[in-house]
Amino acid sequence: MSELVLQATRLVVLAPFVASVLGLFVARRRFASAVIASTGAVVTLLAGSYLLYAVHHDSLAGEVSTIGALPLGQLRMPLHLLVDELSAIVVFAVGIVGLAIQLFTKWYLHGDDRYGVFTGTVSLFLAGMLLVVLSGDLVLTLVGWEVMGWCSYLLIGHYSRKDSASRAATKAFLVTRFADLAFVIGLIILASGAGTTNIRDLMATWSGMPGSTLLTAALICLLSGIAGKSAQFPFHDWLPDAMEGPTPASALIHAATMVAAGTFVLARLFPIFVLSDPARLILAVITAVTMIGAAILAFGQSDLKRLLAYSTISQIAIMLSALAVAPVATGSGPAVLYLLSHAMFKALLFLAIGWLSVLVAGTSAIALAGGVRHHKQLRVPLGVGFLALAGVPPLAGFVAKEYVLGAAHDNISELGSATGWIVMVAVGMSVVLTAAYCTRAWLILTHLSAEEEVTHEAAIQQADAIEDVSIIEIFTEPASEGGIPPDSAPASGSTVTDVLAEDVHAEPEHGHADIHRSARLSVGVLAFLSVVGGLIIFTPLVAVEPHITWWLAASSFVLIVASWAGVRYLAPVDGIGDAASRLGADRMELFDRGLGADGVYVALASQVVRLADIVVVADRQVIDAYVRGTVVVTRWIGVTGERVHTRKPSSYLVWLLVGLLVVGVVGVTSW
Amino acid sequence: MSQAVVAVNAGVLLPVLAPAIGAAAVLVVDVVAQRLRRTHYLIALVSLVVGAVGTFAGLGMAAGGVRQTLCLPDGGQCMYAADSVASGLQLAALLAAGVTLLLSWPDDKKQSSGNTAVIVSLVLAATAGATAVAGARDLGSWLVALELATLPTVALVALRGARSAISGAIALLTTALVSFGLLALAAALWFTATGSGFLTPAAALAVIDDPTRRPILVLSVALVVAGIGFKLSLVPFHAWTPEAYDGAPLPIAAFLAGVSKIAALGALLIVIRAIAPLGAPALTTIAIVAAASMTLGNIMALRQDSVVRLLAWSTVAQAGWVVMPLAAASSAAVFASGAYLLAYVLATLLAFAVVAALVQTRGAARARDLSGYHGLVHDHPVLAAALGLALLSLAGLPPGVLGLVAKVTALRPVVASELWLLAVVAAVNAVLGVAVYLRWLRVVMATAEPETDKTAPVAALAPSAHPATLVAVGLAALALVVTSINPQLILGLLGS
Repeated sequence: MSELVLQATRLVVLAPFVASVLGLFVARRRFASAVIASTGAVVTLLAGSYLLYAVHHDSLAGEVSTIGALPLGQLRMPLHLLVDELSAIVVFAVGIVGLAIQLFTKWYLHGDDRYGVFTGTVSLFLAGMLLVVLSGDLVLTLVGWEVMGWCSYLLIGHYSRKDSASRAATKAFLVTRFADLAFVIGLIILASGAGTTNIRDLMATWSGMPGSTLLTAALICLLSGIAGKSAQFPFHDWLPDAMEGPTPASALIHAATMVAAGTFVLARLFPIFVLSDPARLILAVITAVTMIGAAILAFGQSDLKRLLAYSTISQIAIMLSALAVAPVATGSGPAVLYLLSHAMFKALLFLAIGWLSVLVAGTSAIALAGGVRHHKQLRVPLGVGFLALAGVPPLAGFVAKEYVLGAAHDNISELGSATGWIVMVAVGMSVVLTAAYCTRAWLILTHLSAEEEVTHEAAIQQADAIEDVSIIEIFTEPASEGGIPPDSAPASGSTVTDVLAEDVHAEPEHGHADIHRSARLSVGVLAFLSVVGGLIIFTPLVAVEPHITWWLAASSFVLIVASWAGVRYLAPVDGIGDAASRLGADRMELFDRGLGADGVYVALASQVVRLADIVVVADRQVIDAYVRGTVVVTRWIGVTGERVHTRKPSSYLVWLLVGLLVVGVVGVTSW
Repeated sequence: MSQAVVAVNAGVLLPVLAPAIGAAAVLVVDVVAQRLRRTHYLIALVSLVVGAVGTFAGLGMAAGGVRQTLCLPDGGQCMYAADSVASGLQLAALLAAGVTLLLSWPDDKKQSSGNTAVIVSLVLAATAGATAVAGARDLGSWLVALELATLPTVALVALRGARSAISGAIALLTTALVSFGLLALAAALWFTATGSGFLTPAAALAVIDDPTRRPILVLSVALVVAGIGFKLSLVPFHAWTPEAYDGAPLPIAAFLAGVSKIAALGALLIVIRAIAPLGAPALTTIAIVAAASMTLGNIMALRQDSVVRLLAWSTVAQAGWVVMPLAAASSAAVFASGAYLLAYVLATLLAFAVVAALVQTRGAARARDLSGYHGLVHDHPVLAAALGLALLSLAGLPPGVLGLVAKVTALRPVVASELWLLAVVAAVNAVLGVAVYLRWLRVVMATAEPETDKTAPVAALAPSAHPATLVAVGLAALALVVTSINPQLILGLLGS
């Protein structure tokens, strides 16, 4: 490997890390923070692009040393980074999403006094993710993994003055931490069994013993940690709560980083994961339950940001299920392809929803209803995002989903295992459900309420009277995002002149600066990539064959259209056009609470706390008693000692005499 | 021309001769030109530095390397022999004496007490005794040098003239006399048993197979332990320590805690090395005395409210640590004991220097009382940091790495000889010691009380410490920092 590639690899991880450290020093200065964070992201993206070029053009792949091996005797720990096709393309995707998020954040957190801290944490988060991606050593993987866990706590809890945000951050931290227990044990088994922490070496060692129980145990332990970080059942409930964080943080966590890290680690370990059928079956069951359950819950959310959160859970499950079914020949390609396309369209959706939520001041379905009618520039990004999410051809989401279905199909035809059928059926159902909640969200966003229609007509009529149609047109079809938010739609009975009097001179209600060109550009780029991203299968960047199983594609398209038509038919005309309102208010409330998963967590945790209380009591009353006993004894000796030391010369001589006797007698007798 | 009785090599003897000549020179100068004060100190410092330079040749010599003189003719035995451990102790004694002098540097604003020359020459004489005893190899010079190192300190304590000083001096004197008696008896028994006037392994080996003479030798060693135990403040020969430290002027207390201890250990090491071939059981007495010293010293230190008394009891406890490795009777034990002593002297001198600086700025009453240190870290952050480093070194906690390394070094021979009971007592005392020093440090680190705000204007007018005292603090702190970063320096001096 050339020196340039070595340095570029290290730079990819170091640049965001240095940016985060420097960012801490200037955290109070907005502009400097923004410059440092953006520079770090740009450098990462450039270095990542170069890596991608070098890996494919010059076929340069291999290990990169970091701080040198740790001297640990039996266990070899070289701490190498690993550059190959897999890590190069994911680094590139993370770089793009990271930069887009940094640029968007600068606008989104306009006026937030803790912007500098936030953006520095985002940089550190990216460094953690990139370390996981480039890691060629289980220890480095674990370091990056934990850095992300900690940063996610900080980002979710950014609005720490809000109780709900701080609870959500703690919940995310505790749940993922708990799941990580098994993850660490799994890593230890893998490392100790092979005598090395180098991923390539240990995979070579373990490949020699397929069907090993120890390997299966290690992989199942890893699955626990991955389920925690990737928010899979039963650890999924932290992710919807994590919506308490600022939207860029959600975009970061959901798109290319934290939740995708589990997929990446498993893709990296795919050559040994594929050896254990029990572990694959467990993953298939977990992901099947998760993708269907989360999609159903997504449909019933009254908050569209939480809808996106459940959709992430469901989508990550599809991503992971590809790893559960892909035969050896197919490899981890479909999962990685899904990771990349999901990174693009999910980042796009979050940024666009975040943008819209700034304009309408809220993320609930009610606040966002009709949003894209009033803010037309968001129509395309949100439309593209939802189409890609639903998997409509020919967008990136469609291509990726076909590959997952193809992998399941390969599994059934080649191996004929139950795993393949489970995933095939589950993904098929999730296609319908995903299309359903995407349609529902879109209908809400584009809904024109009865009131508004009335106002619209009234405005036209009034306009005739005051002969000023052009102003009315500005009002009804606002050209800029500084237009009238839907909340300020006049109550029926008020006249358009009132509205004009209120709004023509008023500041935009969101009180936010106009969107920056760079933020708008990042959304545009993500939208573009979400549309054409599927073309990546015709390049050598991802390890997949460019072919689509046409009958699968056709049938999933039919399912999508049917689902769209069904939801469209169900959606009521009144209210906010929410198809989920057919579920009834009680059920929607249940969905909003995630079917009470939080209550289960609390019940489990309270048992642990009770046990801890018992331990504390035992510690204080029993163990500490001995410790306190030493205090009593020491004090007693001290008091006696003071009494004995009378400060009289004669007593010194008595001491001396006694000592002399003891020393003499002991000395002579013990010889 | 008749041949000289002994061959004298002045270069080898320089560490002894320099302070001795300095002591005489100070007295002569005082006779010639009275009322001088700083001149005496300058002469003393120069002689100490010359002596210190004289030890350099002996430092870090390989095992078996020795510089000897005063040898009998025709390749006979030598009465003075300094190996690297002895040279290291001599260097430490000379530097510790230097720090003591810096702490007692005359203040121009104060009336002279008129006995500056006496004090300086006594300090130098005691230092000469300390350096001489480390190299003495025959009974006569060993006894004389040890008393030369001890008796001047009685006068130094008493010269302050206060009531407490007199009672401290009397405590010191009575125990000194008795211990001298014991040591003289021990010397006589040694000569009786071995028939040799030399403290060498060869002399001891001659006795090993003779059942009638062996008990005499053993009793002699027991008496040596008792006699030196007094000088090292080992329990049960420790009782004078708190009285003398408390009564003495602060620099003299530092002298007692530093130079006197070095002299005593130097004397003990000579006897221990001479009897090392006789085997381990000889030293059960040392194990008992060491365990008792550490425990009683730490427990009593925990109860002291006067910092000087606290340091005195800490000396008792640390002396236990110093002699503990000797219970294992090996060459590694001698080395470990020396290393521990150096670490202890360095940290203790720094603590005394800080206390002396505070006596000058805040007054004796406040600086000698533990409660006077409340919130020191806010009033004098630099002094507090130096004190903290000294206390942590004594406790054996990082960043006082030197203390930690010394404790490990001291425990190693004990563990190697499988003296588990002693090792367990030492471990318990390591914990007790942490409590002792952290108790002081906690007061230092406490946030200042609101009351101090009222006295703030007074504090602004408070006199600053004497530059010489601050130099002493700086030198000791620098040495402690450097050796904490690289503890190998101290170990290397003694020749590992």
